[in-house]
Amino acid sequence: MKFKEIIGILFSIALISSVVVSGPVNAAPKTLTVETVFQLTSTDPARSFEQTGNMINRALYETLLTYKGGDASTPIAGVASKWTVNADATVFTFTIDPKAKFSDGTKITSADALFSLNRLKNVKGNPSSLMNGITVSAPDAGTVVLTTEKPTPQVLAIVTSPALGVLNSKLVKANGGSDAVDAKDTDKALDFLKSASVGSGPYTLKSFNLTTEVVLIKNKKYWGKTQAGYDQIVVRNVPVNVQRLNVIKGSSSIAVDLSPDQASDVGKLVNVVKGQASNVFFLYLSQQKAFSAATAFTSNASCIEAARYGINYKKIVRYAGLGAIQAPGIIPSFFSGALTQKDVIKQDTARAKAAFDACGMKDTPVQIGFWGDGGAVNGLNFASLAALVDEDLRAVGFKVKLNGAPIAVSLPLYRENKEEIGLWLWGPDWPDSTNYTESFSPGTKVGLRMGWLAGADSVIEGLRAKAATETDAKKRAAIFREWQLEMNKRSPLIPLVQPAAILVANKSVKNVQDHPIWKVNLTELG
Amino acid sequence: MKLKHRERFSVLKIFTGGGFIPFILRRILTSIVLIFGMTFISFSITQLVPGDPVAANLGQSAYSDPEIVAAFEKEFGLDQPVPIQYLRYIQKLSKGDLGISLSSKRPVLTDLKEYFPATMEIALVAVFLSLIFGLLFGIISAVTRDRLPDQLIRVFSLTGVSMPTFWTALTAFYIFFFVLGWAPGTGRLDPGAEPPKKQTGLFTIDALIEADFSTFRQAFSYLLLPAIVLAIYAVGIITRFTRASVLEILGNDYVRSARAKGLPEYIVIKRHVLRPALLSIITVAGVSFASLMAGSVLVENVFSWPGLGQYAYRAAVGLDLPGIMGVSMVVATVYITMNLIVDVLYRVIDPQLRKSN
Repeated sequence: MKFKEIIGILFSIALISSVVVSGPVNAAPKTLTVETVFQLTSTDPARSFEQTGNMINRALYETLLTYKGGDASTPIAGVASKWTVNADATVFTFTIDPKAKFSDGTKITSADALFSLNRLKNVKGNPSSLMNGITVSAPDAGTVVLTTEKPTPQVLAIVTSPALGVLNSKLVKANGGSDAVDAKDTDKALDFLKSASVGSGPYTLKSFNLTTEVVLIKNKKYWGKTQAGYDQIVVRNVPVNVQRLNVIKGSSSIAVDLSPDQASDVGKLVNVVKGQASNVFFLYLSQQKAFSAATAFTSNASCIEAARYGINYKKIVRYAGLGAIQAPGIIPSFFSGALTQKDVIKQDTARAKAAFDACGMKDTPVQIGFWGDGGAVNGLNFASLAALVDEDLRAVGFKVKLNGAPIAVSLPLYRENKEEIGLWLWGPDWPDSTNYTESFSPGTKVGLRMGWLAGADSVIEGLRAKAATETDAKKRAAIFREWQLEMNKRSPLIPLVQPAAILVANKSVKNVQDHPIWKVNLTELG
Repeated sequence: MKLKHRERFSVLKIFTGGGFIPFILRRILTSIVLIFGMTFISFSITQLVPGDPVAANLGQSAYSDPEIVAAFEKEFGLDQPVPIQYLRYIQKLSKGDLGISLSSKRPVLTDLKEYFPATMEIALVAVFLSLIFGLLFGIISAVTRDRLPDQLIRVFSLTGVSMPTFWTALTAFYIFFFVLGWAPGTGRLDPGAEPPKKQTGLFTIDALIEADFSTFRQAFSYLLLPAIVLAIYAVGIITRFTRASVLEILGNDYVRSARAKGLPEYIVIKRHVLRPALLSIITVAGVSFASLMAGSVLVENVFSWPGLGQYAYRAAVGLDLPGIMGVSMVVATVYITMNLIVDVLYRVIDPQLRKSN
C-alpha cells in the first residue's frame, strides 16, 4: 500500500469520526438521569439492602407504610390505607387499600403481603434479619397482621423498608419464587426479578445491569394519587468526579454522591439540596483484654477517657465540610431522642493527658483499623479522617499506627472483633432509634465487635431493654436520650461526626429530598 | 475404539513433527495447560488475600445472623475446605461451567458474555488506532530523525507511555466533554436509549447489521473517546518500537543500496525497511493488545463503560472468587491467543523461521 493511500485512509477515518461525533443524537422521552456510585446487588426486595437498591426498589415496590419526602419519623399510608397497634406494641394490623393494584392491573390482597414478607424472612438474604421476631398472618383478603412476642414499636418503621415491598405473589411463584421455610434453598425467583418488576410502584423495571445502569419506566396503570413524574428514570453507576461534571453540564439530572467541597462551586444551573446524612462516623476502643498488648489497655476506662477528650472534634467537623455537625451521640440528629449540640463532648487535652497517664499504655503501640483504599462516604474519606484522629491521639500520648485496608479486608476485621481501635460508620437499617440501642449496647451487634459483652454495663443494658418495650413516644425519646448520655460517659464508643447529605440536582427537577434509607425520593420527583 | 499402531503413530506425528500444523497444535495444547495452571495461581492468590468474601458480600445485620451466613456459605460452596473448593471449580470448569458470581448471583459465563463484547468493542477500536498511528508515527519519527517531527513524536510517545491511564481518561473526559462539548457523556448510549438487538454485543456492529444508522452514530460517538484514551499508551509503545526498529534497519547496507539505485523513499521504506522491522513491532503490538484488556479497568470506570473492566473491579472489591477467576481466564486466554497469533505471524513473515521448523 502506498503512503498516499495510507494518508487517504487516515483522512477518511478522521472525516467519518468527526461527522459521526458531531451528528445529532436520538430524541429521548422525558427522562430523569440519576448518577451514583452503585451499591446494588439486585432488584429483588428480599435480597437487596444497599442504598442504590433501596432507592430503585422503592420506586418499583410499595410497602405497607412509607414516608413522605425526606421524613423518617411519621409513617404514612402505602399499600395499607389503615393500621392499628395494640397497647403493648405486639400486634400490628394493616388494612390493604381496596384500590391498590399491581402494575399488571391485578388487585393486591393480603396474600401478596403475606407471601412477600415470609419470603423476605425465609430466603435468608441480606435484609432478612429485619423480620427477626416478627410473625405474619392474613386473617382475611384485606388484612395483614404482624405479631411479635415482645413489644416492638419499631415495627411501624421496619415495614417502610423497601425490602418489605409487596410483590405479586402469583407471578413470583410462577417464576420460581417461594416463601416456604426452606426458601433459602428453593426460591429461584432472583433472575426473574432482575428482568421484571412485579410491584405496584409508580415505575416498573425496563432493564437491569449490575455495573452500569438500571432503567425504570412509568407504570401506566399506577393506582395511587401521585403519578410518575417521568417517562423513564435511568439510574447510572458513575464515579463521583464524573457525576459532578455531568450534572453541571446538564447531561444528568441528579448527582447523589458529591462531597460538600465538590458541591460548593457547581454553578447556578443546579440546585444543591443539603440535609443531614444518616451516617454517623465513630471511633471505638476494643474491650477484649486478651486480644493484644494494646487491648489490655484500650479496655481500660482511663484509656477510653483519654481518647474521648483528646480528639479535636471541631477540626473533624471542619474537614467534613459545610453542613456537617459533631455527632453528640450515635443516634443521628433527626431520630427520636437524638442529643443536641449542647450535649457534645468537648476536647479537653489536659484531662485527656491525665487520663492517658492513668491508663498506663505509654509505650505500647496501638493500631487504628479503617477502610483504607480511598473509601469515602458522604464525601468523607476514612484515611483522611484517620489521619486527623491519629494526630490528636498522638498529642495525648498514644503511639498510633494507622492500619487502613481495602474494604474486603478491613470490614471482616471489624466485624470479627479483630481491631484494637476501629474507625467506622453506621447507617440505619430501619429509621428508628431502636436500631441504635439494639446495635451498640453491650452484647449486641456492634457491641460485640467492640468486645463489649452482655453484662458489661447494667445501666446501659437496662435502658436498652426499656427502649425496646416503651410505646409512648415522649417516654421513648427520653430513654434514647438517657441511653446516649450514659454511652458517652462509659462506653468504648466515641461518636465523631454526622456529615451533610448532599444532592445536586438540575433546576428542572422539583421536590428533590434526601432520605436516610432510600437516599432519593424518586417517586415524588417531577 | 482402539487406534492401530500406524494410526497412533500418525496422530503422534501431528503433534511432534515439523511443519506449520504440528506447531499450531503443540501451541494450542500448551495454551490449555497454561490456562489450567493460571486457574491454580489465581485461585491460590485469591485465597491468600486476608479478606472474607462473606463479610464483603453480606450487610451488617445479615453478617451477624449465623443462619444467613451459613446459607450464603452453602450456596457458594464456601463451607468446603479450600482444596475441595478448587477441585470442584476445576471439575465444573472442565464442563464449561465457571461457577456462580457472588455479586451478581448469576453464572459467571453469562456475566462474561454480557460484559466481554463491550470491552472487545473498545479494545478493537483502540488496537486499530494504535496500530495505524503507532506505525505511522514510528516511521515518520525514524525517517526525520532528530528533526522537529521526530522530537514532537518522541515527546508524544513518551507522554503516552508515562501518563497513568486513569489520569489521561479523566483529563480527556474533562476537556472533550466538559470544556469543548465534543464528546458525549459516559456510557455506551444516551441514558435510557434502546440498544440495538444483540447479535455480536458490539453496539456499532449490531446497529449496522440492523441498518440503524442513528444508533450506530450514537454508539460510535460514545465509543471514540474511551477508545482513544485506551489507545494512547499502546500508540506510545508501538511508536517507540517502530522508530527503534526502523532506525536500526535504515543503517543496513541493503537500504543504502536501494536508495543508491534511486528508488523512491516510500518504496524503500515499504519494501526494504518495514517488512524486517515488522517482527519486533508485531511482538509489541500483540502484548499491547493484551495489555489493553487490563488497562480497560480504569478507562471503563471513568467512562462508566459496561465492560469486563467494570466487572473485574466489582469482583475484586467484593472478593467474588468465581468472578475474579472468570475475568482472569478471559484475560489469560487473550494473552495466550495473542502470543499464538504473534508466533504464527513470525512464521508467515520470516522465511528463516519457517525453514527452522
